[in-house]
Amino acid sequence: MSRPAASRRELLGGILAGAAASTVLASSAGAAGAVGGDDKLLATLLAVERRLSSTYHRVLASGQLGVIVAAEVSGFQRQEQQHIGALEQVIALRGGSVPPTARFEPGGPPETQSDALDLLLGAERMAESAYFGALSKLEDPALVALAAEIMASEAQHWTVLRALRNPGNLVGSVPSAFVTGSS
Amino acid sequence: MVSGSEGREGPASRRSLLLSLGVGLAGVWGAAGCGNASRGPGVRLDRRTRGAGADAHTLNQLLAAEYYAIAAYTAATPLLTGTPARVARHFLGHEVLHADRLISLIQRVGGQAQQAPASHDLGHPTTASEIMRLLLKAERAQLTAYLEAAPTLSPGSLKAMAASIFATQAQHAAVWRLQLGQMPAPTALITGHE
Repeated sequence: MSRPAASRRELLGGILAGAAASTVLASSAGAAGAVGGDDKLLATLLAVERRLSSTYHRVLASGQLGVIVAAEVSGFQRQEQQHIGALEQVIALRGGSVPPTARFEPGGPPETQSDALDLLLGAERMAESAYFGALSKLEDPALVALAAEIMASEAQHWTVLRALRNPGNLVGSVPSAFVTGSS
Repeated sequence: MVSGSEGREGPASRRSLLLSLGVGLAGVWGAAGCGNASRGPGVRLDRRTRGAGADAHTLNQLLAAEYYAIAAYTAATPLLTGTPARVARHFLGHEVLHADRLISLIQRVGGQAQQAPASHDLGHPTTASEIMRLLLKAERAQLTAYLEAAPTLSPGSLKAMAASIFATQAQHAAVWRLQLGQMPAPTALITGHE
């Protein structure tokens, strides 16, 4: 049961050397019969990540977050950017073209910190749901591992955001034994 | 700190497993909640499923990781107070639900779920901080096990179920890091090594 974890971490940092990139490419492209299906799923997950990142941007730009909360949320936005970078590089390494960023309807800015955190909690739930759905369809083992790693990151974001939203109820930050993205 | 139960022969049934762990079953189920979300995602699986034998072996490996975590939480919870104690009790309920789910799946593919070991060596934590570090260590061990297992499982729904539990363990780890004054979500990719 081995997996190319180091390759994925290198992808994140953008330091993948040419030789290593060829290895990952061969591994990813050759692993699954339904490569086309995996590629479509990757494109969907990239769109989800971009929408999630735009929600973080919208919340941070609203100026509704306190200093400590804003610092935590900024860190999560950086991690969303890393997810986007990882997905874009995997798509490119598999020979696909990275889809252009779609325009998102910005929506109104949140009016309170609670509204802002609720917005992020909803967005993280949607991302969890997207990854959970994709994980039952992805065939390439390396992509299954990458999707699981990102899904768990989104779940951690949700937990910390929930703790910030309801600081007196830490138990409520992990409400279910199974993360699926459904409430 | 050693936690465990009397050793037994033969495969575990779901009921015998849960009772053998010495867990206060009613309390754990109550703490974990018994709604739809606690039942876990559906998995289409039986003994005719392609790769069922290998899946049973992998699921038993995950069950071993759950046994360790259940032993750690069972031993640690009475030693904690306040919020950490409430959190530990809640998370113990999650771990029992995970083990229950794994045993059910192993049986559906015609495998035999292994029994919990008679005891686990959990070291000698004494302070609340040391005990929470032990629980974080147990969560990280589970993260590593689930991440290795998920890509190797055969049906897609089983992969998703493993990832679902993996994400829950990541949430547990984030809460323990919060309690320990550490960054709760230090990396963008969760592997169990963070």
